[in-house]
Amino acid sequence: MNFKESKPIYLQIADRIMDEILQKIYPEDGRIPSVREYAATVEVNANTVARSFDYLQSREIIYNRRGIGYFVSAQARATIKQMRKREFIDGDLPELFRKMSLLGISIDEIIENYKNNTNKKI
Amino acid sequence: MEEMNLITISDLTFDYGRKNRKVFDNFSLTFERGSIYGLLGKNGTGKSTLLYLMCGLLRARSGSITFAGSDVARRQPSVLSDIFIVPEEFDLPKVSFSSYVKANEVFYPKFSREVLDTCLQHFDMDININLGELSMGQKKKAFMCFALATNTSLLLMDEPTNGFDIPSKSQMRKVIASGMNDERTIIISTHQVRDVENLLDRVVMLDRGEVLVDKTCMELTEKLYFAEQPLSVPTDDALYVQQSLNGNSVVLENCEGEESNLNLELLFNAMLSNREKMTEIINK
Amino acid sequence: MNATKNTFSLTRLGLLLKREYSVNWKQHVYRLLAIYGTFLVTLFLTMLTNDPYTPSAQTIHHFTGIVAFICGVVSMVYLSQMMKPMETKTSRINYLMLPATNAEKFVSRLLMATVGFWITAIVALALATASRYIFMPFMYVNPDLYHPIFGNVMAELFDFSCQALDIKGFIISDFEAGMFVVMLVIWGYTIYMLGGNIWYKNAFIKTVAAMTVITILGNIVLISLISAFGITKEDFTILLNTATGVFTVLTIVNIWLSYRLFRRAQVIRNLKNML
Repeated sequence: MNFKESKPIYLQIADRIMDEILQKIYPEDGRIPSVREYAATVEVNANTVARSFDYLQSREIIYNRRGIGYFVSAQARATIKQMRKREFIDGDLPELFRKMSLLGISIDEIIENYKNNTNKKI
Repeated sequence: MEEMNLITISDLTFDYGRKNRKVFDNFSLTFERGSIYGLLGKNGTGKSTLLYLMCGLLRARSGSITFAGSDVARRQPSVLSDIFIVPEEFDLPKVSFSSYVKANEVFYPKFSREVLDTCLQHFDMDININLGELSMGQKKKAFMCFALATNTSLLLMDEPTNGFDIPSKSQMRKVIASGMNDERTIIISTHQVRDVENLLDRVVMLDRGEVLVDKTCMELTEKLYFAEQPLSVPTDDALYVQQSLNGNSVVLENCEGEESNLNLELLFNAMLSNREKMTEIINK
Repeated sequence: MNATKNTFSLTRLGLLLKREYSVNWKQHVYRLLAIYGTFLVTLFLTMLTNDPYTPSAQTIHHFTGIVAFICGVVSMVYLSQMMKPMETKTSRINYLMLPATNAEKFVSRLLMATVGFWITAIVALALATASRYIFMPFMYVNPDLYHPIFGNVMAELFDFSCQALDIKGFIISDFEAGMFVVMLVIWGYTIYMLGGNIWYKNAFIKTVAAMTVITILGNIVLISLISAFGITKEDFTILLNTATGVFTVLTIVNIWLSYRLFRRAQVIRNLKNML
């Protein structure tokens, strides 16, 4: 796996697992690979992957069954979408508004662009 | 019950007898169980020598190296069966890999066929290949499979990625990641830090026979902050600056506890060029 | 912790031998073939130079003589190559890291150089004598030679070793002279063992060179001693027995030194740290 400079590796791995859950590669209440197996897949130290798993557990996206392994939580997909929506609104949007103000782009230009590039009506 | 320290090097002094230039002079270092260490340093700084000393292949002039309490220089089977080294260069006999495994696995009581099969799978190799017909890179892969399968408490690798193309390096990382467990210590000596960066738990950096760094990766990212900055951002506070594609790569003191990814190449260059300040900060 | 024993283990010794023969069997077969070839050529030439009227026993005797000489020399070569796994840096790393005691490794290599050689030689001899049917029909030979000769050759070789104890000249008693010769010969062989542990590459030639020098010097010393003191028959016995004692001690020293050199061997060779 190729990693970006910016985000901590354990978070990038957590993102990857969340993507896989959204793509239904791991079904809800289904088992995901063990920490060590996943470490081999992404070619990273198992302790880093363990950190990713801890992070996902804390967000209730996965849960652990002692002696058996890690499983995808029942509402995982919904949770992930919620999380990412939150991240978009709290992170990407302010950044967008900042750039808009810096470059002098109005909200009307954005709406116009949106109408032309998507099929949704406003 | 098992001690945390696997290998203890105490007051080691060693030289090759030439020009009286000591490679190590009263050198001390310990390695703990259950970690993957990166042993880094410029070429010629004594990394291979240190590995050989740890296996008992070279004898110290003074000082001691003990492995789980035993002196390694005595070359006792109880120690030898729990250490394995993948040297930079090695030969393999011209027989089938399965004969080689059968003849040699008996010397390693913890040998695991399961680990061997997993590694062979990652390397996309079959056990019935003839070692005499393989290229250098293929031989190295086969030897690595055997090395990991011995399940020794200590596994030493000297420049493991030498001779590997990019896909093979990727396979090697998978093999190391899957062959590791809490009882083992793997020490990877290399100057190609990029190849193994993400696998490491701890970093030991040597320079001219001295330990520059002996820290866990976590400690390093807690004390230091690594960033890519555009040229416009001032670098007065930086511990080290290096030009990069998009501007500057910098190492800063991590005053705000921000998370960043450990960049070993940067760390290494920073240690060499700004040694005192860097040492002070990582030891705070 | 590790349950591996650190004491000498016959099982591990067996595993070492098994490993050597399963992994390096090709080299051993080549050596066997080389010795077989040499014996066969010798047999061929012996038969060629003996006419059909020569008694078969004499032909066999000639053949055995040359075989004994070849065996004598080749066994020295085997001994000087006893530490072949230590020849290159990479093979040294392999061998020194092998989980067995130094004693087990040393003994296994010694067994290969001695017993291993004897077995190879006997098999090569059996094959060579059996192979004579390939060329015998095309030569004028004593018809007796079509009868089995392997047994005769082996018996003669055994006799040969006993006969070697019969030296002409100042023979006081066969026993003392015999002892001296036996110790001298054994010492000569242990010198090759020592050479094999000092030099890992081209040990045989280097040992021969060293032996030549030692023999020349030794003879000079001996002859000067004899001419200086004008020895009587009684003196000679004492001298002989002392010499036997000296060579026994030297033999033990050679063996001990060989083992010590191996035990102290390091992956990078350096005169300073060898002993």
